Amino acid sequence: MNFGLYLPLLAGLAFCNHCRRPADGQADALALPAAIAMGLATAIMLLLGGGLLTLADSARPGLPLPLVASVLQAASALLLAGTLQRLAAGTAAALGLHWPLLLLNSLLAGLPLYFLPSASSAAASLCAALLSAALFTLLLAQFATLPHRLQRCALPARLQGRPALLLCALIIALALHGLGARLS
Amino acid sequence: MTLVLRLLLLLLAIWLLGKVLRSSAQKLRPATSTLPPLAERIDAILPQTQCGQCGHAGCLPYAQALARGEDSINRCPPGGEDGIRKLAALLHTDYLPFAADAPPQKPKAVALIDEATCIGCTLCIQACPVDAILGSAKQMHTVLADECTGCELCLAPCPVDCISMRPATSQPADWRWGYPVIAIKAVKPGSSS
Amino acid sequence: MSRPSILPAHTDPGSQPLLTTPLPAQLRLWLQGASCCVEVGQRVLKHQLLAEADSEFGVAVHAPTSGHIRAIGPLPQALPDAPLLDGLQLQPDGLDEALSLPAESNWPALSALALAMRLQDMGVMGQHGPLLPLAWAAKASPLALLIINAVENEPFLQADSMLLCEQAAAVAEAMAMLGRILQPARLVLAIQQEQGAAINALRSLAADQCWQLEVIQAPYPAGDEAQLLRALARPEESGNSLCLPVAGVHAAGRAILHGEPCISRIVTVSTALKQSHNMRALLGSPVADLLTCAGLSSQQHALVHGGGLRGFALPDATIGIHQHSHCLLVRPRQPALTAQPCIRCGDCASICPSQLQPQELYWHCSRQELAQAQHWRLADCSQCGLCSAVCPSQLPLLDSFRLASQQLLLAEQQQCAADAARQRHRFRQFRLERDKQEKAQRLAERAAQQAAKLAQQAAEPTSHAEPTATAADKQAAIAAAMARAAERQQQRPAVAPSVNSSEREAAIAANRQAAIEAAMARAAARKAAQEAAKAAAADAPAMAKDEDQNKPGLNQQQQALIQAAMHRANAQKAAASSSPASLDQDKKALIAAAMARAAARKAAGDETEQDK
Ligand code: SF4
Ligand code: SF4
Ligand code: SF4
Ligand code: SF4
Repeated sequence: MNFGLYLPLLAGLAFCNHCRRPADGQADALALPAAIAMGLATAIMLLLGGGLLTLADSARPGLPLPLVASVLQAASALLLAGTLQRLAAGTAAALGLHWPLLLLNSLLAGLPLYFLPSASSAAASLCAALLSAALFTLLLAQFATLPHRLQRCALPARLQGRPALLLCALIIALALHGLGARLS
Repeated sequence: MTLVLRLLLLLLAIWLLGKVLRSSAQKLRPATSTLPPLAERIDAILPQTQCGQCGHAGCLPYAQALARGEDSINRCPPGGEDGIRKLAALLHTDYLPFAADAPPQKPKAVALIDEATCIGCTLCIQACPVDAILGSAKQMHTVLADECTGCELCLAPCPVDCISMRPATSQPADWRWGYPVIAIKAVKPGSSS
Repeated sequence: MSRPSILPAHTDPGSQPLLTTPLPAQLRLWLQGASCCVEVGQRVLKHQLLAEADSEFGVAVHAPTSGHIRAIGPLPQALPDAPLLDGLQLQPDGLDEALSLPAESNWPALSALALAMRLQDMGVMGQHGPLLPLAWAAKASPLALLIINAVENEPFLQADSMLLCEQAAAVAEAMAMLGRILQPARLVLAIQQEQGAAINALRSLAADQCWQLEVIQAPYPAGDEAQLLRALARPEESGNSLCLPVAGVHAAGRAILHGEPCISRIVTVSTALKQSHNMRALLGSPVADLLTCAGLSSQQHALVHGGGLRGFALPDATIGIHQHSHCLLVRPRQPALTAQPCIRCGDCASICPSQLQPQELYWHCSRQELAQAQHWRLADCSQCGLCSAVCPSQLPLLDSFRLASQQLLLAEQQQCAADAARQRHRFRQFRLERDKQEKAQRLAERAAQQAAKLAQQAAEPTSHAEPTATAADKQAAIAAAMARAAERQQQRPAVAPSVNSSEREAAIAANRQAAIEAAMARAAARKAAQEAAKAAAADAPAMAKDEDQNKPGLNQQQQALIQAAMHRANAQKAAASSSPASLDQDKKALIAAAMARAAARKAAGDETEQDK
């Protein structure tokens, strides 16, 4: 795994997240808060998963990393989803913080982090987790505001809506791939 | 050390998420309890012409019927399409165009009583829903143009047909800028430079 | 904010003289907010009143010269899109015979309202309608700050500077007059730094006067009322201050101190950016005459009324000028520019003096999303036109902002009207309900009185007259109820107005029928009561022997009360199930309840009478 793959993966993930949002007036008004909330939730899950992994590693070293990491990431996602369900079910649902989505984000954004070559030390992995959460938030916000901005472009009718968005996602993914390839 | 830092960051992120959730919860429910009843809110949108073209005895009964879900939102011609849009937004329903047989929309007009013909029968006073007609038995009647909503309810009862509708008088404030016109350049095939 | 590069520096009128246009062959006066008081063909003298203000916003129109009225009717006006509005065509006869109007001899005694009305009658116009708004003058609140606005309201206008250079003394006189009558705590003449000649002309006069000279340094839209108030008013003054254009103030001085109505104004005719002429032109002079006077022909040029930023094109040169025509811009004809999509260059946002985002605003305005436009602070747009001027895509930004704010204003007015109508409608319903109740009460009381009187007449202490009397009462109550029903039917045209006219006629006929029937019923009831009373009188001797006289009466009263209570309960139940289907039942129940109540009340009344 390297950044050249990981960063486009984040872009794809953000696009999937965006596609899951319902398209009505209220969702439009909450698009930005929803993006921020999902970004924060991802940050929490990454930090929690990483922390738990460190603890597990120190308690009983020698466990197979892929298995433990995926279990812990899934556990942290489900923990967060459960807490949200208990404390603020309605708001969380309106902001699109559903458990399948949280699980997906936690696994896809979290697991590759442990296999990045640069994340060998604890501080570096913490840094990587924070930065990837921040990038993910930015991408989500980008996709939340894109439809409005695309509306104002004189696009051909065939491209309006989803296709234009998909093209944008592709362009972003390509750019991020370029960036990631240079980083790693 | 990094574990402590990680914990701190975790707490920070949880706190931030809590704030975001709380603020959007407020946005979601703008204190429904303090809002007036639905019929009142619908009534506030209706144009208050009180003309009865919606098939109800005025705007408030129509609003009440809408609040109970007993009528559709495209019944009020004075409100125009804008009014239907507002109703659709308030009631969370889809926009409905006017029915084909709906009464046509007219520009705002006010009633004018031909004072020479008026016989002072007071029938129009009884018909006017907003008390915009002044007069008394066997005396000439007149319309208060500022109060008249243009509902046309006074036209039919008049036994001598002396009431007519006039376009509302224009004031300097009524004058409108025209729509901006964007000149369109004709592109002739073959004349590309 | 740096001075926008598209704006030329202000030029002073300098050495150029003030021209006077020759008498035109035709004058076209605008009659908005004024009703004509002359006739076609009539000869009028200079200064004669042609039209009186007919609303709070109108001003009177006076003849600029002597001549004949040729036409009264819709004429094209110097407004965007040249709408046809009522106008008056005057053909001068060249004699220029003037009516001498009396000057206000006792002007210091005028009140603010009297002054405002006098100015309206003299045709002195301010920014919106009469120079002093009547509504403001009627309030007679103390004035903290009076600003005389001599800032040119667009770049390369010179009309106000010219006026100050030529007529500084007259303006000073007029300001002293206004200061004397309106008694502002502070009187300020605002002028822009670039208007050097005018400042010099005023400096010499400003000493020991009641007003101060304020030199404004801010760039272009500084001449707007709102901007001036923001710049000059102290926080405590901002609530009650007034801003008047200097041209209007000068005209007010002429009108009050010399009795001259406002019949002319100074117009800047500007060709290229450098060359401009100022001329005093009679109101209503055709634009072509002004151009000729400036040595131009109207054929080869495109005409813009107003300055280069906020002006609008005039379709032809026969249109007459009006009180707001401070500038005519003459430009070589160019092919119409085409609008392109916004390229988001951001030029408009960086030049906007109100710190708005015109490109966002334009997007929402052009899609008629007024709520969004308001959110992007359309209300703060001073409509200065700078964004339109700099836009490389030639988008009609200013036009769409104007239109959108007009629409917002209109929506606000409609909302106000709707609120007023709602209130009046509710009050009417309340009034009808109240009238109905009062009428029923009156009828019931009258019937009760009659019955009691008859019973008394018949025999003094008769106990047996009671049942018949209550029967009569009941009949009266029925009559009252029927009368009420008839009344309700009469209101039906207002209540169910979707019926067409023939149906409505039928309904009205039915109402009359019902009213007649009700009257007949009432008469019948009265007769029945009389008969009952007679019968009671006949029975009286026999019944007089009865020992306890009150008992049957009491029983009946109790029964009536119980009945009434039951009826009321029924009525309440019926009212609780308030579906439209049960309307008839409702009505019936209400009528029944009302009857029962009337009967009970009467019974109680009888009791008290008997107690006496
Ligand atoms: S048609 Fe519209 S304006 Fe007329 S009564 Fe019905 S709701 Fe009111
Ligand atoms: S005057 Fe006539 S048209 Fe105007 S509100 Fe009254 S009934 Fe309606
Ligand atoms: S017209 Fe309005 S939006 Fe445009 S520059 Fe002026 S203030 Fe700004
Ligand atoms: S100046 Fe014109 S093209 Fe540039 S951002 Fe503004 S509206 Fe768009």
